[in-house]
Amino acid sequence: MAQLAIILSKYLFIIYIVFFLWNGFVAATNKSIEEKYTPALSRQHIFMCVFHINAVLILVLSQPDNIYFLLTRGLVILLFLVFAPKLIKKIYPNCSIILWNGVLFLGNIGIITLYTLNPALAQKQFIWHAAGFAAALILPAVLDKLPRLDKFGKIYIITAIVLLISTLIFGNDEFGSRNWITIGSLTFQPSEVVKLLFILYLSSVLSQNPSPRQLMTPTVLCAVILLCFVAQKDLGSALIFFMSFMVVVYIATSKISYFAIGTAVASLGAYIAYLLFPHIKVRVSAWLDPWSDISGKGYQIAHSLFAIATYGLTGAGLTRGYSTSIPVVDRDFIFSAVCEEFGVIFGIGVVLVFLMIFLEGAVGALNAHNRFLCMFCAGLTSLLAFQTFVILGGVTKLIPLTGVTLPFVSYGGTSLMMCYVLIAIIQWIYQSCVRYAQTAEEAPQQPKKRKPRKKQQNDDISLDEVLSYNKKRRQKQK
Amino acid sequence: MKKSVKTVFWIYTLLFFIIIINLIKISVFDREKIINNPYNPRISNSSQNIMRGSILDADEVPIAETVRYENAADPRGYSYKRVYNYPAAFAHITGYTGNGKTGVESEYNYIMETVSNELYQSLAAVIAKKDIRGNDVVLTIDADLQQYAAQQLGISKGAIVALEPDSGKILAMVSYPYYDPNAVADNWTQLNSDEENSPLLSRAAQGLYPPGSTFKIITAASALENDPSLLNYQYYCEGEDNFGGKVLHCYNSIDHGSEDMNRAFAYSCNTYFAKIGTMLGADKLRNTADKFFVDPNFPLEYSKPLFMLNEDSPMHELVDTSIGQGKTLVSPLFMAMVTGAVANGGSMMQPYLLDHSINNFGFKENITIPSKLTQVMSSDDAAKLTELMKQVVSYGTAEDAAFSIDGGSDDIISDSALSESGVIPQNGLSGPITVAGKTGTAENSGGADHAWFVAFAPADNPKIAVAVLLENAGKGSKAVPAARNVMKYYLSYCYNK
Repeated sequence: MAQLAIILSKYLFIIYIVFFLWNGFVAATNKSIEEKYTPALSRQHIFMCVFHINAVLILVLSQPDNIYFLLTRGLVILLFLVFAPKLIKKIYPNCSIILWNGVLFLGNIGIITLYTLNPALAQKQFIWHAAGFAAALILPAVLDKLPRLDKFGKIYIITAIVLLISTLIFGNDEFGSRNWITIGSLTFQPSEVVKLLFILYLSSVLSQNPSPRQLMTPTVLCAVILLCFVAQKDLGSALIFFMSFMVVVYIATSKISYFAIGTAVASLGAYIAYLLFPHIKVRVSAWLDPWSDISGKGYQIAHSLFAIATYGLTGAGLTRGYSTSIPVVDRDFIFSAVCEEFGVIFGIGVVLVFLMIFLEGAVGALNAHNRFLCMFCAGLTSLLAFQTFVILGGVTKLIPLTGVTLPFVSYGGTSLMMCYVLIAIIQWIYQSCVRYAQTAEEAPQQPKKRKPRKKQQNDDISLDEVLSYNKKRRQKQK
Repeated sequence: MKKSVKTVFWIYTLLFFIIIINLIKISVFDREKIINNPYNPRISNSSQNIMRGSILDADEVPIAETVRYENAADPRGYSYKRVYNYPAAFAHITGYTGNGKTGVESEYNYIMETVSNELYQSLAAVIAKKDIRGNDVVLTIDADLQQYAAQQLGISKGAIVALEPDSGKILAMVSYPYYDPNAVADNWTQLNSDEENSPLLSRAAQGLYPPGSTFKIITAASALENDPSLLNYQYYCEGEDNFGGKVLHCYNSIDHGSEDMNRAFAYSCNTYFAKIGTMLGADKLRNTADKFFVDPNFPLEYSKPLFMLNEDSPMHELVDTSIGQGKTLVSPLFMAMVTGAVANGGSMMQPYLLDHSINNFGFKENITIPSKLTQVMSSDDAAKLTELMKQVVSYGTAEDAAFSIDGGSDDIISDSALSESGVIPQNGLSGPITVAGKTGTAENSGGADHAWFVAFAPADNPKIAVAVLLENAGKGSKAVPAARNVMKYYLSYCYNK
């Protein structure tokens, strides 16, 4: 009976995620910029909750001795899932519910997978989610109170460099990278904060249409930080950081040639690093041929591929996988466990949920009313997007494996908090842009609230543009 | 600026679609390779809740099957156990489960553990209390022929391998001594400590023996390839000859007199082929041998044959190697492949055991399509070699191998498992059958000579190639009757069935 339920649910899970994505698609293509709440989004929310209820029932069926523990935890998480989007909508009526649905759904998939691997860890993870969510509730309000963020470029970069240097001095090794700092009982990865600060710095420095000369300083700083990451053996961060840098510079300059030059120089740098550092060589050779040394350097990738491929498109069924054989399965390799238990079709669904979040982030950048916010939003979205790409590509042997976590799904306190902070900032940009558009619409005669400045004029996207965009959207809806 | 944001938007989409395509590639196209990797911890584990698929012979007769038995300790009231119906004939094919897995049980474990139409089967299990079944594996081997071959081998240590030359299908593969896969767990220590008989060893695929004169097929192939005129090379055999200090004798020091390659091959003259070997040189012989000694990637446990000769080898090694002594070691399966290659116009086929698998609804899956392993010689040379091998049977060392099929009233039927049923299927060939073969008498350090015989029939339209090895049985002609009977049985009853 339990077996039948598990197998039946295998197919149901696929149906849930397909409907979740479909409704996300409907909502994303239908809504106008100021109208955030549509029936499609509430359906999306319902599918998310049904997924959770179904998964908890399977967990209860497969571990009947643990019934009390699982049911109470399941109920608490369900309440969280049901009320979190409603709460955030109440406080920030202009936020993007599509983003929150995606984030909560991914988080839930992560928690359920962790329950099959290690229930204690799953419980901790939920507490981190709740904390992250609380931070995301407060952060936009705090940011609203702050003066203009784009005026403090130097402060950001100095803080970033201080953090990096302190990691090099005080850092301790964990998971093969020297990028952790311990304060009391708390360990955290400063590289996460450094990435955020650098994007902030870059967006403020480049918020005035930059000349090639003005690009010099950020580029040199970027190279320095990259070297620090490589020295700390934090190759994943280096890659994510560099790609996000390129995206922001490309948005600032609209010059594809910079992109090409940057990629060429970085490839050369990567090749030199490959020749210089033995640990990079090992990773590359493990990526090129993990099969020749499965018990040695190819161990992680080979076991990840075993997990993904063995049970194929529909998976083994929740709780029936062999996921404990995958190394670091609760962190870097959680996606392999998701594929094993829920099937590769579901795994593809998860990739699409990520894509949905990042495309929504890009829409935020598209709607931004000034250059700074646009670049900032795109930069933050890129940090998350490339992090996701780097780890998903790594565990599926598309690119060499570098140890980073899968946003919102992997176990890990700091990385989860950081992801929530990034989402909260993206939400804040989203909200403030919607608000700006609304106030502009209400009083179209008033040119601007702020004093017009010489430089400022070309930063902002013209009011007419925003208005005509909204008008078009509304017409379409009718 | 907005345009660049849009470009970034498309970059994200592109990147994530690459991930998705890669996921599909892994889980659909590379899946089989990844699943069957021996390091995959998922494949060696059997689920207690499903009924493992059966191993069936070519006519879907169950060779190994899983059955229910009453078990009060199990909450369901029953458990599953594996039953092997033909322990004597099929032990080395099926292998065993329990103390690890070997043979087909190991190689095709994943197929037998895979539950097709899982949802349907689980529903049927809940509603109609049916078993949840894994897929069945259908072998290329015919159980009747396999049992007949096992009978022919009797209680002499050795092996018989029969395959279909133009496809590589293994038709029969038996070894003696065997073990009982039903009782492996009980006899575990004894099976593993019995070094004299080593019953767990599949002599057919894992046993390595000097090839003796059967290797002259390869020496002759090298001669035909490098200098076709050597076919008519005349030599006077005095029963022994001196090659750079190495004195070589013919079997029993018989002098074969004046001979060309036809007669030398038919009578298996050692000095003639040693002479040919020295004329070719180690380099050319090695080149030809390299074409034969390829890795067939055989599904069961398989020992790679050894061929050590190279340019630097001393003269006596070249002489020994040319007549199948020296350091060369081969398995009966390998010799069957060599014979099959001659029969199949010089094209060696990939040997295979799995014909297809069957899912719970009876649909065929995993159908093996015959594939060519390598071209070992030109079809012209193969035809010439076939002529040489025919003379071995028509007037040479294996005159006993000739047979004819005449309407089913033959003596071999009394041995046959089929005779018990009272029905004698007779839809094979009839009339005299031309056989092409080669005997071998392999000297070895372990005592009396090993007897070899390799053959295929009918010579002009080969349907079966056989290799027989009898350990310490003496000269090669001792192995001839078993090979003849297996070919006759197959062509009478199995072929065209």
